[in-house]
This record gives sequence, structure tokens and C-alpha cells, in this order.
Amino acid sequence: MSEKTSLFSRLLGRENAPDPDGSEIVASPLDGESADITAVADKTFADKILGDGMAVIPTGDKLYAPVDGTVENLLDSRHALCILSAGGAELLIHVGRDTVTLNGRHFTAHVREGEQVRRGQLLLEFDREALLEEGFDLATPVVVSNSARFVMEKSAPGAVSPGGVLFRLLPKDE
Amino acid sequence: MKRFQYTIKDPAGLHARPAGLLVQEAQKFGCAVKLARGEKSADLKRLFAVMGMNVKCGETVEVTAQGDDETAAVQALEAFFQAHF
Repeated sequence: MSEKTSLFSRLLGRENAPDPDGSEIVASPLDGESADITAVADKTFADKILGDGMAVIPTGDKLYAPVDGTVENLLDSRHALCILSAGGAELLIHVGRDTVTLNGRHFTAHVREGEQVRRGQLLLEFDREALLEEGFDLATPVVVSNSARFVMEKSAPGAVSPGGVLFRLLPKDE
Repeated sequence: MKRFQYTIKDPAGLHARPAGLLVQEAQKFGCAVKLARGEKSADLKRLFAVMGMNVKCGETVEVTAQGDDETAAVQALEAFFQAHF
């Protein structure tokens, strides 16, 4: 990578190197307001049944990769995807509640299953206005389904933008 | 080893939230539990493995359990599939 590209990547918050303490950053995938996962209305997520993490209530309509990794699974309905991070975290991102019923309506995918992605890469777009008009709760959980393997250090809830730290993951000694 | 087959009736297939509940149900048992469709199979105790199977409506899956509590596991999981998928 040239010095210029590297500087450019760094400005976009996409630097690849893990933090000095060995933790992996999980960035916000959205513009919006973050909250602890226990605060979402969907009990399955709030009870951490799909893993620990945080949620973002989007103010924007574009969803970006929170980590460097691989898209392991993109549902046909394009409302949720699984990303295996470079650090081994199994991330599930689920846009809105009960959006599975839309069968992909209002959602556009910009990645395919199996694709390698970089933090900050555009993954999905959705028609936020249309979803809100139809009464959907758009709180978007970002959870780690194998969270028991990590110590999770969450940032304080508040306004977030893509690239901002949602939480950090430090692998536990096994 | 105990097993059962089930054909998915939920139009959305085996999607995220109910898949998480299914995995949680499977984790209650000590025995090894697998989900298979054709040649492909996955550890039913791992959400990522289950979601990676991309099981759709109308597809038939087979669940197998092997271990001390395999009978109880198969009974509970079959009931779970009937109630949720």
C-alpha cells in the first residue's frame, strides 16, 4: 500500500492493524444513536439470546461494515447479515424488527455472500422513510454470537457515525 | 443416535431471531446436535453455522442428536421446530 493510500485509509478509520492491546474495534455500521442491547424492544435481542452487543437507531439509510472480515451469510430478505471478523468474532447485524416479513422490499445489498469486506465498506442500503412510514422499529442490533469468547468493552451510548467505536473485543485466554 | 426430519413451513425460512432461539434450545442439552440438509450439515449449537445453512421454506432438514440426553434433545427440538418453523 502506498503512503498516500495508507493515509487515506487512516483518515477513513479503516486502518487494519489491531490496537496495541490486541483488541478489535467493532465500529458503528450506521449514522444514528447507539444503545445497549438490553435496551432494545425486541426481547430476543435484549435477553442476549443472539449474543451480547449494542444497537443503533439509524438516522441514515446506509449500512457499512463494522469490521474487516467475511460476509458469511446474507439473508435473501437482505435485512440481516453475518460477518466473521478478522479477529474471529461472529457478528450478526439485524436491521429493524420483523423486517424479515418484507422479503427484501426496501433493502438493497451491495455485497454478496462469501465476499471479503473492509471496515467502512458499504454493505446495505434501505429506504428508511418508507420503513418508518410502514411502522417498523428500525433499532439495529450489532451482536457477537460467540461473545463468550471475548471481553467486550462498550462505548457509552450516544450519537454515532460509521467508523466510530461501538465496542471493543479483547479475546479471553483459552 | 436419535433423529427426526422436518419440512420448514415458515415463509421466511430459518431466519435470525428464531434461529437464535433454536440454538439456545439446543445448547440446553449435553449431547452433540446437528442440523443437516442434503450433504450439508451444521452444529446446531452455533448460530453462525445454523444461519450459514440458509434453510428456506419448503426445504426438509434432518436433526440428529448423539449422547446421553439424545432422546430428550430430539423431543424438545422437534417440538420447537413445530412451534416456530
